[in-house]
Amino acid sequence: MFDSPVVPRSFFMNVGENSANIALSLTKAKEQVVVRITGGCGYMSEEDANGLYDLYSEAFSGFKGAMMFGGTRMVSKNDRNIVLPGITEVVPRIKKENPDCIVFGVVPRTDDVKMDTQYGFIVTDDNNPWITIPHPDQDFFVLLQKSVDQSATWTDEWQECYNVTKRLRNVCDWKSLLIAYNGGGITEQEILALSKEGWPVLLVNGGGRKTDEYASNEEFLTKYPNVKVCNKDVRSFRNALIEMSILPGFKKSLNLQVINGGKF
Amino acid sequence: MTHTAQTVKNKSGKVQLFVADHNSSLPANYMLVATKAPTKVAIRIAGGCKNMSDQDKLEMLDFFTQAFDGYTGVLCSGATRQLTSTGELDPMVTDVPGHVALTNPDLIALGTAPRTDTWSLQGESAFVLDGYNTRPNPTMDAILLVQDGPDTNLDWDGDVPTYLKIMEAWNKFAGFEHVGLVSWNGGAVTEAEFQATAARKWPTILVEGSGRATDDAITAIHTNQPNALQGNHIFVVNKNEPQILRKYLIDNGFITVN
Repeated sequence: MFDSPVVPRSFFMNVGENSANIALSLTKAKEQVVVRITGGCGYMSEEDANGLYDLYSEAFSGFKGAMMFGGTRMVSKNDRNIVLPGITEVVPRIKKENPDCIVFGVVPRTDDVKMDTQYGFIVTDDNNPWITIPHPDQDFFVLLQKSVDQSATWTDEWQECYNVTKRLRNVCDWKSLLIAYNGGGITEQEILALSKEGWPVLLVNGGGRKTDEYASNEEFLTKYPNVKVCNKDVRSFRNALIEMSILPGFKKSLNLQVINGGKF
Repeated sequence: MTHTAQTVKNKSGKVQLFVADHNSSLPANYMLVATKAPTKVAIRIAGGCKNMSDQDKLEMLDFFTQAFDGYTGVLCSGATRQLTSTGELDPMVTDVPGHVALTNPDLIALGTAPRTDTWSLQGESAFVLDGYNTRPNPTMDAILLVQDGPDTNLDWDGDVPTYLKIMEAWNKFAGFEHVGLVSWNGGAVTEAEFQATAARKWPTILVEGSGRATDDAITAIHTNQPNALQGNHIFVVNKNEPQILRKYLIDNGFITVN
């Protein structure tokens, strides 16, 4: 289960707290850019999952910035080597192929956390036959709660990512990008919040649900020119990352133009 | 624009001011400013200028400028600036980071200072830190003012635990491979500072001939006194040999020479 011999550093934080150490840890990335991966996969097949992993891995080849994601992994209660496919597997795979990037998970404590001799932390175990654990292949993660007695929500997860992004943008002049794929109501909240903020947003079209709804909403895309759309294929995705200056070294050498209303 | 001792002179044209309580969590945004330095190293200049002539002070600034030639990390010190009775600059150790930045513009100059008195606006709204016309140093990129709530004054060492924690966090979390301290002159607070960095095994550099607590510590080393600082991380350099300090900084990863 542990691809890396080094287990991730863990932080514990109440919603609303500011952490200097978390922000500082992200600055170890070689490129000053932070990417937040959001969305869902909604019980996709293993074949579909592998296609999604390959899509992200190939598109992000050469990435040296920082990444934020949900920070969890779902494994079988009976066999910890059986992993439920999901979007939170995407970022650790990018990390594996791009070891210079820094990967940070934000894990809301939505239930009581338990300790287990086999799994370490168990974030939730009420989703039979799966249990949720902090993903072992990330640089560090924060377990987020409202207080000792109050759980956090999935909204708190994206809002913490928003807070960290804001700090890095405003204080350190970092670039940022929110990438949305699939997803439901919480993903929608995040897309809308960052669109209104004027920060770069990339919608990966073709994965379904809320992301596809906004990717085909011409009125929305016209209102928020900071929101771009790419197709669910490597060429389109990678071109978008280059055009949005997330991948280093290419933009100046290519004469890229915004065509097709910002769609890649 | 007429430049005076109060004119802001740094790259951005403004000094970012942060205020933190000495018991509160560390100030994230202030700490992040440091990460804008091209090289992830940090050195604190500790000390004072008591008993130094005007000429001594100018030579001090020249010593550091020569020693830190090519430095692109974080250079920290106290955050104050002293003015003479006629409003002219009275150079102090706290002017070293900004002065070195004049010839090394990529470095990040940061300062910390305790709130030892009630702050006030005076004259043309000058921000004065105490009853001695002490000002925030306008050559810094960012300044952290540390207080014990709004009503209690701190002593002059009130910011020391905070800046040590900040340097520890840079080292532990932000990839600052080397952090250290240079001590020049100074009294009891300075002694506590170089004792603290020496205890952490950080490079602790004592400038011989600078006076007072720093020279006392060097004398203790040279005479093998039982309380003398010792270890490979303790380095003594004469104030007339800035090139020796520069070599030490290069050899220990603080300055990269292409």
